[in-house]
Amino acid sequence: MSEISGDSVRGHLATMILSVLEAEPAHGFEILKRFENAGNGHLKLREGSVYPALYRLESAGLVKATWEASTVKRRGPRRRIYQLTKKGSAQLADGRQQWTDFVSIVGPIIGATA
Amino acid sequence: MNENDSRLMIAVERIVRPVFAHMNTKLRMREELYTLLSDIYNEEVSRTDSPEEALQKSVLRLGNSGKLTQELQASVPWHSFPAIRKLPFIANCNEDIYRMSDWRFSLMFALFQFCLCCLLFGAVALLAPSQAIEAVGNLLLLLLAFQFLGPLCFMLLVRRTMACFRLQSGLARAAGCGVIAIVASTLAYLGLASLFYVSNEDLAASLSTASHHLLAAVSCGALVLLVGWATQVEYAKLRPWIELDIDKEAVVTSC
Repeated sequence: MSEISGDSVRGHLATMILSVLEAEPAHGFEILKRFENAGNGHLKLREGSVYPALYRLESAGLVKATWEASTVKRRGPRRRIYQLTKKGSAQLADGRQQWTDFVSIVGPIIGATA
Repeated sequence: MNENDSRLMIAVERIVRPVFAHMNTKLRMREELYTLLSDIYNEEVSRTDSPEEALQKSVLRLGNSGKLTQELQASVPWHSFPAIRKLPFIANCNEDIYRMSDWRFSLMFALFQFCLCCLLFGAVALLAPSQAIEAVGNLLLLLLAFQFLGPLCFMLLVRRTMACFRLQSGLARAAGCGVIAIVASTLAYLGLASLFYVSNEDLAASLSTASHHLLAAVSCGALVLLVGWATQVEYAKLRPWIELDIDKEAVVTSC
C-alpha cells in the first residue's frame, strides 16, 4: 500500500483528531502515534500541523486542554493533554457521517469502493 | 541546556516568532512544539547513532516552518492579537516590543489604578461624607477619565517606549530607563493628585496638602514598582526564547 500524505487528509484532520481522542485523552505526540498505529505507518503527516488543528478545535470548544499534572515523573518539558468535549463528540458523529457520505458518493464516481 | 536542546528550540522559534499573537498564546505554542520536537528527536536518536542526523530528521518530520507559521497564525483568535502590529518610526520591531505593547497588561494596570482610586475615594468619603456625596457624579467621571483611560494610554506608551530602549545598549539604555521611570512616576503622581485638586475644592481643602501629597507619592511609587516587577516576571518567562538567534544557520535548509 502506498503512503498517504498530509495534504490528502487536510479536510479530515480535525475529525481524525477527534476520533483518536474519543477513547482516551492524549498529548500531541501520542495523537500522532495513534495515527501511525491506526494507519499502519502509511500516513505521513507534517507532524507539527497537529497543533494548529488542535488550537482550532480548542477555540471551537470541541476539545479542552490541561497541562500534565506535575506529579507525572518524566524527563523533558511538560505536556498539554487534550480531551474530547460533549460538543466534540457530537462533531465527531457528524464528521463520521460526512465521511461515509463522501465515500459512498465519490467511490462509485472514480470506480473504486472501499 | 545542551547544544541539541538549543538547536531544537531554535527550530521551534523559527516557526513561532513570526506569529502575531498574545505573549501567552505564543509561549504555549513554543512549549508544545518544543515538547513535540523533543519527543520526535528522542525517537530518531534511538534509531540512529548520529545526533546530527536525528536532529535533521526531526525538523523534517515537524514540517516546513513557513507553512506551520501560517497554520499557527490562522489558529489565533482575534482576541489574542496584541494592540498594534507595527510601531511608527521603528523598523526593528522585535518580540519584546510586541509583548510590551500588549493592551492586556495596560488594561490590567488601568483597572488596578481605577480600583485603587475608588478605594481611596471611599476612604475620603468616610472621612467627609457630606462633601463627598455631593461630588460623587463628577468624581466618577473624573475617575474614569484620569484614572482609567489615562493610565491605559499611558501604559501602552511607556511599556512600548521601554521596549524600544531595550534595543539600545550601555548608557543610552540606562538613561532611557531612568527617564522613563521619572516620567512614569511624575505622571502617575499627577494623575492621583488630580483627584484631590480637580474634583472638589472643599474636599481638597479639608485634607492637609502634605498628607495627600504623601499618599499620592506612596501610591504611584508602589504602582511603578508593581509594573516593573510584573514586566520582569513576564520577561523571565520569555527570555530563553526571545534571546535565541534564529538567523543562525538553519538545521534543515529545505523541507
